[in-house]
Amino acid sequence: MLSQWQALQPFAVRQLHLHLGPDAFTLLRAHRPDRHSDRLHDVRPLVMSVLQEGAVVSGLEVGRHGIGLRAAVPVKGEQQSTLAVIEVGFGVSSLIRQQQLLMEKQGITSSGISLLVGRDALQVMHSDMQNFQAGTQYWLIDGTPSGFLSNWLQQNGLGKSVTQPQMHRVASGERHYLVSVTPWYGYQQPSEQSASLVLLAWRDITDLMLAQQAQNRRLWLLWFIACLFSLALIVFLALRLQKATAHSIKNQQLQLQWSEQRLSALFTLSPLPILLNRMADGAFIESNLAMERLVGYTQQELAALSYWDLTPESYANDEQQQLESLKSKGLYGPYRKEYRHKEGHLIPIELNGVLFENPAGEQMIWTIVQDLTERNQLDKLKDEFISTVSHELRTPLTSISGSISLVLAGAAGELTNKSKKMLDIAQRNCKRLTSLVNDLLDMEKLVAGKVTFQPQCIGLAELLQEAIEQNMPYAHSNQSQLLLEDVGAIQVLADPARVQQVLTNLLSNAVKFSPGGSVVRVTTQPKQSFVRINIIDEGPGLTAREIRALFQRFSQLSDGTTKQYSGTGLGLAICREIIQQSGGRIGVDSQPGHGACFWFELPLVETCAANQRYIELNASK
Amino acid sequence: MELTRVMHVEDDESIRMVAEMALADVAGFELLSCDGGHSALRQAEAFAPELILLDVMMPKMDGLQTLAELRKLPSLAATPVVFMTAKIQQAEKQQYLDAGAIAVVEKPFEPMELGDTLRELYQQAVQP
Repeated sequence: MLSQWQALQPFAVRQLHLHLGPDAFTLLRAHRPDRHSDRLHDVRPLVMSVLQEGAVVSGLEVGRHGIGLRAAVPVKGEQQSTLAVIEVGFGVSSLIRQQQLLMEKQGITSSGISLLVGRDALQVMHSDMQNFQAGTQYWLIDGTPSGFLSNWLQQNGLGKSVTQPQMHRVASGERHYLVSVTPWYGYQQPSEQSASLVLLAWRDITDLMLAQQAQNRRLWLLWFIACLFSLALIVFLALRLQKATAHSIKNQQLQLQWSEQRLSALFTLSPLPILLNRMADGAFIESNLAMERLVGYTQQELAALSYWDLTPESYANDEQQQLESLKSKGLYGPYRKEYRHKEGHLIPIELNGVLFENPAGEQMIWTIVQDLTERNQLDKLKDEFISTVSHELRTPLTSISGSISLVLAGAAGELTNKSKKMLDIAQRNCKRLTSLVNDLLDMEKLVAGKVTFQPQCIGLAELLQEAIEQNMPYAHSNQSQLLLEDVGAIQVLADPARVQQVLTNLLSNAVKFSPGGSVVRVTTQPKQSFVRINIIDEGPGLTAREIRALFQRFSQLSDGTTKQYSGTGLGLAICREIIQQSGGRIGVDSQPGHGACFWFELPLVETCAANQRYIELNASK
Repeated sequence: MELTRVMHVEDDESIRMVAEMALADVAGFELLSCDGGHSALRQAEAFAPELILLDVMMPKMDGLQTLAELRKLPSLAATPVVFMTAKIQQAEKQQYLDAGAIAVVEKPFEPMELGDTLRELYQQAVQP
């Protein structure tokens, strides 16, 4: 190559071009500036760069007739001097045009490349190459089958300059194109400027879009069907739910109806009068047949009356108390009062009621009424009966026991031993019968609350000592001892006569069930607010079953002991009533074979004076 | 002062008989037994008892009424009266004491001790 170049020098050759066919790829090009008016520096910047730098350069080159892609390689001479430049390249604009022709020929119109040449680059071209649209920054080497890019650029679709890669969708008629815009900077052009060349790669995406649209339509259709199906499912489920709910509601209604029927039947047929009153004015909202029978008013008549119309005025204060109970606790009763019958007479009744709110927010009172007329009559009859029986039993008992006592004492003359023995039996059983009558009367009065308790502040030691002394003769008759352990200065609140009755019962029981020669101990245990009194015997003890039944009326040990130790079976039941009504408790701790400890508790008072006020207060009530 | 004359008012004949033996034979009192309030009122002044033993529950005229009537007789206005009745409550007992009785003796009574009991009660009543 060097020898060829040198051989050309005498002819002042300044340019040597070697083009490769058929597309005239330039392999070798050397210019003679004198034959060409252009300056090599202007039109061949790559070649100049290689000549000056001696390094390989590649890039776009804008020439007078078009745009080319070039690679320039230095040809080194001796001492590494650059002798020539071999430049390889081809014209891009012609390539695009050829491509367009080829595509048109082959009917390929779906994609291609276009090129935009910037205004600056066009300055170096011939004036005929500079006929771009006024106001447009670029000259387009179109290459599109319909020239859609020209139209697009004329509508300023790209903007005035391109500095960044972009992507556009361009519509032309019924066709749609995807255009990728890539700035292609010229050799040594700064990247922040608008690129000298812009490569536009375009692709017809109409079919793709149609396919996409078709697919979208299919998806929409699927979505629509899915929605329809979901809607249908929701409607179906809603209907099912509605049906189930309706079924459930119907069932509940039936249950409610059934419940209402039952309650209504109970309400109507109840032998006890039942009332529903409005709290605000006492109006009778509902009443049953039993109420009709009780007060003589029909249900319709009652509906026009109020609670107050049936209540004598003398109950005004009591009514107020019951109303307060109703407001504070939500219920009232048992409340004994009287209703005035339609015919004017008074009916003794007992009321129990609850307060509640109806759905309208009104406060209502349900009341159950109990007619006490019969019960009062029965109580009166019972009292009379007991009184009569008591008198009628005691009168013959008095004469029988008195006669026996006199005869036994020899007041009627001497007796044989056999006679004495028989009369002893008669006397014992007379006393037993007397005890039974006494116990029965005591029990009846206690249970009916007719026993008046007179609580006093009394010294426990004195109380117990007196009981011990009173029962000592009986203990001695059994060769037993009664032992009172240290009590201390304890004051209790109790009715002394009633406590003595309890103590006598427990002590005599302890002696009765203890073996001869044993000791019955009486001990005390002060607690916080009460004192426990223990009566401890050395008897056979009690089983748990016996203990459970012990304080019941007519309860006696069921084995042979009953026959051995006679009693009325009411003693402990009476003791329990007395102690309970004295505000204490009574019980027994025992195991078979280990004796028994009968105990009861009495309220403890610190000082008599402090308690005196309590007694007075109770007495005033 | 020793008790010697006792009037007993009791409607039940059996009890009257027992009391007669207890008070007259055993205790040695001079005894007037009456079968009711009316009988007692008729004979009381003539007998002039030092102590009257009066049953409470009697037909026609009960113990309290009898007492009230006896008190109207000047010679018996202050004669000690002892009521005799079945086992009673404290409140009832107090009612009899308030009516003017010096004591209440419970039925059934112990006949061998009845005389001594009345003597003691009488002594307590007449002591200044």
